[in-house]
This record gives sequence, structure tokens and C-alpha cells, in this order.
Amino acid sequence: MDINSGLVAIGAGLALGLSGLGVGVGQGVAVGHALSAIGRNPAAEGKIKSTMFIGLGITESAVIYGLIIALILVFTKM
Amino acid sequence: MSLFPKEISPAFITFIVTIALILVVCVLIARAFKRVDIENNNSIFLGTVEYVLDYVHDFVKSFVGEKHVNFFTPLALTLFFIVFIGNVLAIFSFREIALDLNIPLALALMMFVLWTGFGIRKVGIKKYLHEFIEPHPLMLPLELLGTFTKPLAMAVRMFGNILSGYIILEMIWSVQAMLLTLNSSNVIFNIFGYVGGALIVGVVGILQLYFSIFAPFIQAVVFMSLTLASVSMFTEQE
Repeated sequence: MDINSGLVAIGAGLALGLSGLGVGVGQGVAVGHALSAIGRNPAAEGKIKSTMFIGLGITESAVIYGLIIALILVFTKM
Repeated sequence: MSLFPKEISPAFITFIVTIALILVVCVLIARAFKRVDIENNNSIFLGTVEYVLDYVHDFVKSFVGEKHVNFFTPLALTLFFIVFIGNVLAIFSFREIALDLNIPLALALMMFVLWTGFGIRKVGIKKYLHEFIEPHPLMLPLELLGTFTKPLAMAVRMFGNILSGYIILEMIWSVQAMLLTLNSSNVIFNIFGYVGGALIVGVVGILQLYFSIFAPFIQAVVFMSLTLASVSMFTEQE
């Protein structure tokens, strides 16, 4: 157990934490706007919902990249 | 280097099973449609199939337009069902296809070749290459990067999503297994462990539903619509 594995752990935590922070804010904004759109026009609920889920899936990829970097760091460098 | 790998990855076996399953179901559906009167059949299954085909047809039409919809609908359906069924088969203790990065990468590269070839055929090689220096030649590295990271991002997105769900479920199941095999000298402690392990099953059931049915569904839809969106960049220019 040397200082390097501690630094790797900090790096992995930062990678996942910062990307999770950004994506959390982004997805919250997206869902909030979708909900207000449904409130304004309830007839278009199905279309808004499916578009929202596709958008969420694409937005989520940022945090997934962070997760993969964190996993690579933890499982190969530690 | 030999043509055949020394060992076959479990994800590849799932891939073969998925393709065989899709093939068999498609042949059965096609034969069933030949036998019945399409205008007034009252089979619930065939009605569902018709509804799904109609829905996907409309979905593809919203991306690529009226002219190419008949070419891209079978492709979209194939992509969707390979990704969806390949990952959902994990319920029957197959390995998810997305857990082997090679398979999503291969799918994404095939789609990359498809939309690049389609684009070149559609707008011509000269105009296609001209797109890279469209606003200014300085944009060339950025445009090249954007072109080649697109399939990579598609593959890694699917891989990472399924992998994260897999790791979370494995962690919870291993905690449950640990609780159920508690063997301490304190009997009360052991009983609490058993009860906790039994209760976790109910909680994990919901998570398992999310991670092994809903997440693959979303990934399949996203994979399909990203391919269609890349294709639609070229169909909009005519």
C-alpha cells in the first residue's frame, strides 16, 4: 500500500463524482422541462416521454465514460 | 495469429443464441402471416406484431423521411431486437452481449460503414469530403474526431450502461449470499442475517427488473435512434 494507490483512488472518485454531478444536473433539467411540457400539453405525453428517454440515454453516456475510467483505474492501476 | 480464437467468450454464445432465436421467431411469424387473412385476423399475437411494425415504421419515417423508410425499417428492427434480446437473455443466466466490448464495437462499426457508404452514395464523394472543411479548414481535426468517435461512443455507451447494472446487481447478490451463509457463534445475529438476506430478494427483484429489462430496452432504442440520426444527416440534404 503506497501513496500511488491512494492517488488512484482519489482519481477514480473524482472521475465518477464530477461526471455524476454534471449529468445529475443535466438530467434533472431535462426531466423538469419535459414535465412542464406535459403539463402544458397533456395530449403529447407519449411523444414527449419517448423523446425524453432517448435524450436521457444519450446524456447518461457522460457519466458512463466517467464510470469506465474509474473502473479501469481501480481494477488495473491499484 | 489464427482465424479462430482459442476460447469463445460467453457473450458470443449469447449472440449466436440471439440470432438463432430471432431467425426462428421471424420465420414462424412470416409463416403465420401467410396463413391468416391479414384484413380481419383476430389473433392477439399477430395484432401485436403488426402494431410494433407500424410503430417502428413511423419512428423510422420521422428520422429518414418517406423515401428511404422501407430500406431502414428492417435494419432498425434488427438492431433493436439484437441489442434488446441479447441483453435481456441475461435473465436466463446467459451473459449479456454488451459485456464483451467487441460485440457492441462490431455492431457500431458496421453501422458506421453503413451510414458513411450511404452518405457517400447520397451526396457524392466530393461533397462528402467537402463537409469536413465546411466552415473553415481549421475545423478539419475536430470534424475528423467527431466522425470517428461517434461509433466508439455508441459502443462504449452500451457497454458501460450494461456493465454498471451488472456490477451493481452482482454486489447486492453477493451481500445477500454473505448474509445467508452467516456462521457466527451468536445465534440471534445469524437469524437477523437470514431474515435480512431473505428480505433483500424482494428489494433486488425490482432493481433486477430495471437493470435487466428496462436498461436494455433504453439502450436498444438509443442505439437504433443514433444510427438513424446519423443516417438522417444525409437524407435531409436532398
